Amino acid sequence: MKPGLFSSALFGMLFLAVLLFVCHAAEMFSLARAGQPALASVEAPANAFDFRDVITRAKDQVFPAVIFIKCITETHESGKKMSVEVSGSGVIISSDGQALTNWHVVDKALEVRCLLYDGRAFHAEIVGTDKDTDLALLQLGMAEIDDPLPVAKLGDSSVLVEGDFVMAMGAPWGMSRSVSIGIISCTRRYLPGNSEYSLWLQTDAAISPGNSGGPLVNTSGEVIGLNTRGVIYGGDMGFAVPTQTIQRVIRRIREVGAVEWSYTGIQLQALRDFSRNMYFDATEGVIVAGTDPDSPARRAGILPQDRLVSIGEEQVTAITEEDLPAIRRTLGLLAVDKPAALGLVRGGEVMKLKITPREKGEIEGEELDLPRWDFTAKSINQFDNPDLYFHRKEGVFVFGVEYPGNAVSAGLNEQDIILKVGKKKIKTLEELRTAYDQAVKNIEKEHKILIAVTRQGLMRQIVLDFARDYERQ
Amino acid sequence: MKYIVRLAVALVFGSGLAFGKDLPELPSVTVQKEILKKVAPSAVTIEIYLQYDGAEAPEYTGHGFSGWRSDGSTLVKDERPVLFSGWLLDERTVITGDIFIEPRFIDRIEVTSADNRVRAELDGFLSRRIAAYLKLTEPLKGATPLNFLPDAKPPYYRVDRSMMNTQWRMSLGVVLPGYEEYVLTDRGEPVQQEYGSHLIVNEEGIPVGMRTWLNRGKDESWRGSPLHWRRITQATIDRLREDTIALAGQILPRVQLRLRSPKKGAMDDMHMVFSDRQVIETEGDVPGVIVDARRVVVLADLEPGVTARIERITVHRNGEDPVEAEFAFSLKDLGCFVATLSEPAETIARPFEGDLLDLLNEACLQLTLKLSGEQRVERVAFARLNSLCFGWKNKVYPTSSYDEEPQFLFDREGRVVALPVTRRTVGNTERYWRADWPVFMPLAYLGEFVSQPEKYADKSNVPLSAEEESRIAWIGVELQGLNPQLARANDVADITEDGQFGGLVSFVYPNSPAAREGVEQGDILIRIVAEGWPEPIPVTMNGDFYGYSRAFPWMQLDNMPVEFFDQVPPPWPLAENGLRATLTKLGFGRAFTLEVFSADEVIRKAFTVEQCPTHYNEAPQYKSDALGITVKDLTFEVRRYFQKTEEDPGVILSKVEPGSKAAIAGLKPFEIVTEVNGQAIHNAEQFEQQVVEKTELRLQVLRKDQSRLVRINLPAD
Repeated sequence: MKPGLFSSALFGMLFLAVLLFVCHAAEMFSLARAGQPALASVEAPANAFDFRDVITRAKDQVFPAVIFIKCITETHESGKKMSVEVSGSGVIISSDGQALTNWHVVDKALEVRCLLYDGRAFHAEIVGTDKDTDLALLQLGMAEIDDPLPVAKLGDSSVLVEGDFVMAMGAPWGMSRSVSIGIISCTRRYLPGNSEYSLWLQTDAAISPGNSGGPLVNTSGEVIGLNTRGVIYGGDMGFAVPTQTIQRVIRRIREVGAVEWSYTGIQLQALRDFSRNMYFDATEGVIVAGTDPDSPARRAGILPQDRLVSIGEEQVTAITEEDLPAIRRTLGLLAVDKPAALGLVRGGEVMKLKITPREKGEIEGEELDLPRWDFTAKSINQFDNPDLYFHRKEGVFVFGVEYPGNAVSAGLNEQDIILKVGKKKIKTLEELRTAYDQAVKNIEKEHKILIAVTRQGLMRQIVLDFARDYERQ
Repeated sequence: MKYIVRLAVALVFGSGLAFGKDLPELPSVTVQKEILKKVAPSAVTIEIYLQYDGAEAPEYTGHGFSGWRSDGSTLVKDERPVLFSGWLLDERTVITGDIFIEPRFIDRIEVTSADNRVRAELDGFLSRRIAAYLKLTEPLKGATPLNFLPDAKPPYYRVDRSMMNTQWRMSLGVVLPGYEEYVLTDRGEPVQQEYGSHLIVNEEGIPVGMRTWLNRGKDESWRGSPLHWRRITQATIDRLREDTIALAGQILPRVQLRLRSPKKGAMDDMHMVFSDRQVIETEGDVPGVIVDARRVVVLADLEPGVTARIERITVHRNGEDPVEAEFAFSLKDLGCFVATLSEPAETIARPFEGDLLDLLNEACLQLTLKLSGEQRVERVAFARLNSLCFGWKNKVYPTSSYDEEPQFLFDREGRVVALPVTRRTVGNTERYWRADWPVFMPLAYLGEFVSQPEKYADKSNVPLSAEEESRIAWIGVELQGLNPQLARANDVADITEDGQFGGLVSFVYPNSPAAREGVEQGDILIRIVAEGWPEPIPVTMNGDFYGYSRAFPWMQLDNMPVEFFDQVPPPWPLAENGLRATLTKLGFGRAFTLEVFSADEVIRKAFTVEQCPTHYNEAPQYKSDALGITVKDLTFEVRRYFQKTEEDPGVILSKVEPGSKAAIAGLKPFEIVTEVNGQAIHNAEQFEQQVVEKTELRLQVLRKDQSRLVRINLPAD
């Protein structure tokens, strides 16, 4: 997911209900809280709990481990390949130089540079990322280090209760660190469509763009979450990935460089849904809402309205939707290509089915820049572009179009699935690249090419005239 | 109606040169001066001051024949009159060219000579000759009446009086031999051509006669004083106007049409914009003509989709009780339909059945009928039938000028000469401009057409039941409209006028007529040549907005407030597109040939207009008030979009009411319900059977390929 999560051209301002933002691009917001003087100090009784002390101590433990991250990132979104600077925060979690940050901070980064509180700067390598949980593990370039690194300790997020004091830390402007304080507002926040496998920690400690990837810290000075999302029009609501999730993910990343989720294609639904006024009779298990076409689940014979009660040895129950991420995580962590036993209740009868999950694989397609045509293409991915995948299982689509540009003038739209270029059928980016290269090489002879696309499921032809060189103008 | 004269003047000038040495010469300047001096005291100037009639700005035409109808509001504002030149015939009588100004717009008429002026009134017109008379309220000082000597000796000269640079100027012209050109017409009748309206004098300045525009018949009737010519008096005209209005109240009734409410989507906004036909929502008032005791021709050019909704026809004649009428048939070529009266009519429109040539230049009455709802406003003006032309079916029609819509034309016997009727066209139905302009249809012809329904009736433009209403024709393709670039890239620029028309086939429905005939994706449909339709109809996809729309917001449905659901257009294009509309207008069962460009050649494929399978807008539906949803059968275009076969179960949610049980349960428009309580659902009827009187519902719901189970509890009644 990218900033401006719901880019809704058609319905624009109609539903600004809750706009979540991903917090980077520090430049956008001024951080009024940073450097603000402390509250008017009142002389506290000598033996009283000195809140400021607690905060200061905790802060001092983690502050040095907070890093400022600046990336040069490649983006194809605006219709051409562009390098942009993206900045965020991170936190060092091991003395050998591993640091945690958000996936969206380092996504598609060509170069990652980190700045410590004391002015030391490092180049960092990305050890691994997980888009589903929005986490990334970095390795700082250790050769350049002379002094030991400050390290923050990962705490246990499962013991948190609502009302616990927490601090959100970050380094939005480089050297200076900032901290804001608040409490845990909710320990199990479910955000539909955001993070399939994890619940969120919700806090009222201000999370501003720029401290994405920074730590959420408890009063003992332990990192209990990673600040990830804020809310623009929703008051004080920030969301952090809990360390419960972080621990699992970094373990897999350290082992194999990625989580390597497995894919079953089961669509799940909780037993109770107050907001939809929907209550199913059972008290255990989770409803199978449906199965993806062509998925392991469908092959296994799982039917909609089955009730899933166990995965392997583990009993599963989703009373409410807050329970769903844990079950999806269990399914997602099943061994690939190995049959697993699922316990189901179908029409009152208990039954066992074997499912063989497959590798989820890429959850986002590759991108390709076609500069003379003034658009970028991307391959269709089941998880990233379900709406396009519905119309074509394998292929490439127009990812971004540049304004002004040849593609726009020809009437090519974003989300058009490319079927043919000239007489060549196109299924992969490689085929598109070849067709493009040939067309551009041949430009003296022919500067127009007929492109067949699928738009909303219907074929359309578009004549792309690329005689104009917008790059040069 | 008046432009022909300009042409005539040009002709005279042109032909005059050809006469060469025989050209008569003007007398010496001295003699010219003498002649003009003699007639000058008889020349007068007519000033007609205009006024508003209520809020209606006056209209006027310039001198005699030659003016266009103009807006007189500027003259009223400037407090100046329309000017005409005239000749004094006796103490109280002035002759001038035709004055086509309705009396209601005339404030006053003043006739002047030098500094003297008197009031005057319109006093009638000449029959056949283009001239009007004025009656002065008192003798005009300083002006002398013309004293005609019909047998004065030749040579003759003509006197012209015209205005230039605010000055009236008088001059003498030769009477060209061309004036007396002898022409033998088809009818064998010799005609003496005359151009212009002039006083004719001899060398001594003695008035011999008066020439008026385009007299017919070779005679000497131009000689002598026009004072004694046959005249239609103003009193006669006033009486005729009253009679015509009274007659029109009987033979041109107001016909009130009541229509069933249009179906949602059927009269989509886009279609409203593009329709050039009369758009009637639920009620409309249109003129009718009582053609015989039992039949009324209703002058409404209705789309089949509108005609389909006619439920009641009521005929309102002035001073009589309304009479119900029943739809009989509509005409395929003309924008009108015939209805049968439930009670016989006593007064019937009598057509002028003679030769229209006999009416040329004859004084007639033109009736303008305006129906604003139940309000009926009639205006009758004095008019002449100026020219004739060939029209539809090679018949002779009165010419209507470009700036005026034809109106109802009556002769002085109260017979209907002609009336405005729209000529229908089939192609190009989706344009911004109005394609069908009314023609001046002689009532005699109209009677002929309506008496042969077997030949002229349009079987596809008839009232229908609510179920049949939105039926359309198809061949089973989805099209993309061409444009110049696409036409050139596909090598069809030469046969599609550079992409002005033509449709690129983007999808062919299995088992459709197109599939049977082997039409394939990527073919280009060029033209339709329909049986019994003289002109080929280009395939157009104007209004192809669908292709410009952005991706359907499937991802946003969950974030959208329920109130906005109704504004979300379906993700598939409307079934009622340009090609289907054209085919529907051709009528079911008509054979046609489709020119298809396929694999580098034009192939002709034979089709018959077939009915399109039930489409989304007309799909059988079931509305559940308890749930707050409307579901529809999965129609062909919906199945195509969702890649569902004929056998796949499901009904589609076409409407979700805000605040309803279904809305709370999170149902969204365009989701598909495949099962209810474990039973597969194949259509709205089965859905109804499964949900009525149930208190607990489990719906299996599909959004594209994401499914979920929805449970809704309903209160037991």
